[in-house]
Amino acid sequence: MTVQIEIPGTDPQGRVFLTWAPVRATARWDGASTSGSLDIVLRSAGTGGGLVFNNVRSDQNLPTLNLTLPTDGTKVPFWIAGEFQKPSAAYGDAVVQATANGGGGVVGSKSVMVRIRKNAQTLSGPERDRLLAAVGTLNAQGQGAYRDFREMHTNATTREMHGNVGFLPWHRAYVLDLERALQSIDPSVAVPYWRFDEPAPSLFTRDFIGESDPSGEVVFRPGHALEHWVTDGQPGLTRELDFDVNSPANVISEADTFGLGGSGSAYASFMAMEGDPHGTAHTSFGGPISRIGTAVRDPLFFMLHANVDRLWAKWQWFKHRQNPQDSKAFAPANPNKIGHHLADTMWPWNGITGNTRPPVAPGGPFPPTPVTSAPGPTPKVEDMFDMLGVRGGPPLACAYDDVPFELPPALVAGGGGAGPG
Amino acid sequence: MDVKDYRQAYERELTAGSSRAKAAAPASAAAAAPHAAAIDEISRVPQERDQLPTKIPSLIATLRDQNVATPIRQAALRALRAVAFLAELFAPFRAEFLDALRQIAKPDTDQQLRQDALEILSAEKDPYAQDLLKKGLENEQDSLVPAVKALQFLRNDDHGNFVDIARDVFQKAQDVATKVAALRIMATDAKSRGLLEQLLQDKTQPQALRTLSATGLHFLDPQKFAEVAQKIILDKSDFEDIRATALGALANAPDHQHLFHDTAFIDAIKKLGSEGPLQNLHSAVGRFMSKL
Repeated sequence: MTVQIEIPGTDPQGRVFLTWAPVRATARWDGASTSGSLDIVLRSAGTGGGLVFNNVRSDQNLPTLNLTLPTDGTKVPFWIAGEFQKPSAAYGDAVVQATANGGGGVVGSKSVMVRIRKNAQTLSGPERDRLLAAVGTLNAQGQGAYRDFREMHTNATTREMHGNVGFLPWHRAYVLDLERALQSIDPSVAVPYWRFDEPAPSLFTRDFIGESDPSGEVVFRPGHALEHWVTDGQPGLTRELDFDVNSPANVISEADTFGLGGSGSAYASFMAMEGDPHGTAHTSFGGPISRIGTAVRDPLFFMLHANVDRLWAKWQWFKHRQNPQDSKAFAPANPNKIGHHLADTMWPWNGITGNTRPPVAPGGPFPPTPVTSAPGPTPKVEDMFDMLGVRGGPPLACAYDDVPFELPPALVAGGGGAGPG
Repeated sequence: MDVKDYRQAYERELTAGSSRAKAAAPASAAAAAPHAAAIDEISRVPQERDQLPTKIPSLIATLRDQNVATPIRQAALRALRAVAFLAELFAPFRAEFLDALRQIAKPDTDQQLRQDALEILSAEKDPYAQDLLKKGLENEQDSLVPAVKALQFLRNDDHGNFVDIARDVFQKAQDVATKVAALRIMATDAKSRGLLEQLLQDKTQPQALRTLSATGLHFLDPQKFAEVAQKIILDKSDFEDIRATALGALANAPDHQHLFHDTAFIDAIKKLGSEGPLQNLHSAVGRFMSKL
């Protein structure tokens, strides 16, 4: 190959993970140095994930992009993103390919993954099994790092994350923290969401998150990665469904969630979703998941909360409310609600203990990733608002399959191409 | 799809979807039908964040009131459980809520309501509820919920000392579900090690008990488990499912790294991958080999 394609965020193994958020990449001629230039075309050539391109940072990207590369090796920038609604199913099923313009052959290519959080009901068998293997490894029969996640979310720590305006930002960070822990085991994994207002019969099976027997004990296929699940020193899971597995849970619909507070609703109204559908999704079951103090014992917790987070992300996109300073995008916390103000760092990642904070801070700082600098080791509430970086800051390197990258109207009017390099 | 087109399509979807009704719990749907309006009103409470300080006491009063129809009381309990997720907003009412639950944890209350009350109370490690559950296990005439539920609820207290009563139930119980629930309490108690080892190796035991014994023995004594598990995995006369279960346990835990360097064992596992139509075992082999 004589054209090198470089995409920032490449991990030490040379792998690249994209979402819907455009990333500024470069292409350069790496062949013999001659005078002149080479015209190439970039296109998506993978068998699964799709890619789109542009010369500027945009939400109107193109299936192909013409570039002229100087043959002295000068890097030529371009923007690349996952093609919305064409996520990868495995690493390497998305490929950016460079061909010489005018019918020439392939002169460069790079395999990547468009790593997206999907509806758990729609995961392929291999995607599901990779996820479960990573979750099982994280639990390691009660000896793994899942213990830290369990200890973060208890009755003793509930002030940090429930009953106030920081509910959604804190849980966004929490799900992302777990996702990065899973990705350290298998980087091709993203946390899927349980769309609780739709039937999800494939999820509640012995092959996936387990099937509840008549007594409420969760049963897995023999050899399943979660078959030896242990939390709090106790083996197994209890989960009794209070809804038909072929029906939605006992929650309001996505449309009704968006309607909380009326059509012009602000965050202050939208946060009523903490009660319904969030609380009602939890209490659509008997068993540990139905109570704050024990909910994380059930790994379904993270799929439930991925959906809560998806609803917030989708609401933010639909109403253009990714700017935390926008009075409709957030609501002020009471002065004594430490951890719920925009500029507050969030426990436990900030390591602060005692006083109004819990006595211990499990898990350490927020884990880094090669893909992005956000949200940093001690994230603040305000750092969790712009998942895809639509306002120009670094994205969180996660995305949902039904929440697109769309520039805010003000940026489009002012020229979206002036985004960060 | 172009993002602007997607936005327009989603606007249409929201308009169409806003009238979709909340799903009703299937088991209670018929009984609840005559009370649909009252239940619907109650089910909206978790969304009414600003009104919770007045709505929560009203829900608790409904829950307590024996003259109110059971489906309405159940709806009140569902709503209270959901708003309990609002933590501090619910905290001022917590004591009253728990008191109401103690009030309905009685024989003359609807069975499901009684069971739900005992589940919540036991999750709070409520001594009154734990005492009721223990008495029910000791004497069937005093039981407010099935034994399997009583055991599950007692397990909510990970520091509760219910091993002796669970062992007693395990020995007397005839049905597998109750035995499993009892064994879950015993499974991480050091005194159960011998029983777990015996159950795991006993081919006449139900699969559910052998599976749970695998988890328990692994928890208590990983090295012993590995020793037993290797025999089971390679024993072609044993059931495929328990062989897959044993191999899955070895694949999952960090205690068995040495096995990944045991060439004889690895070769044997590779051969398992080519044994007959053993889907679960093959899947477990794949997961074990992926850890190499």
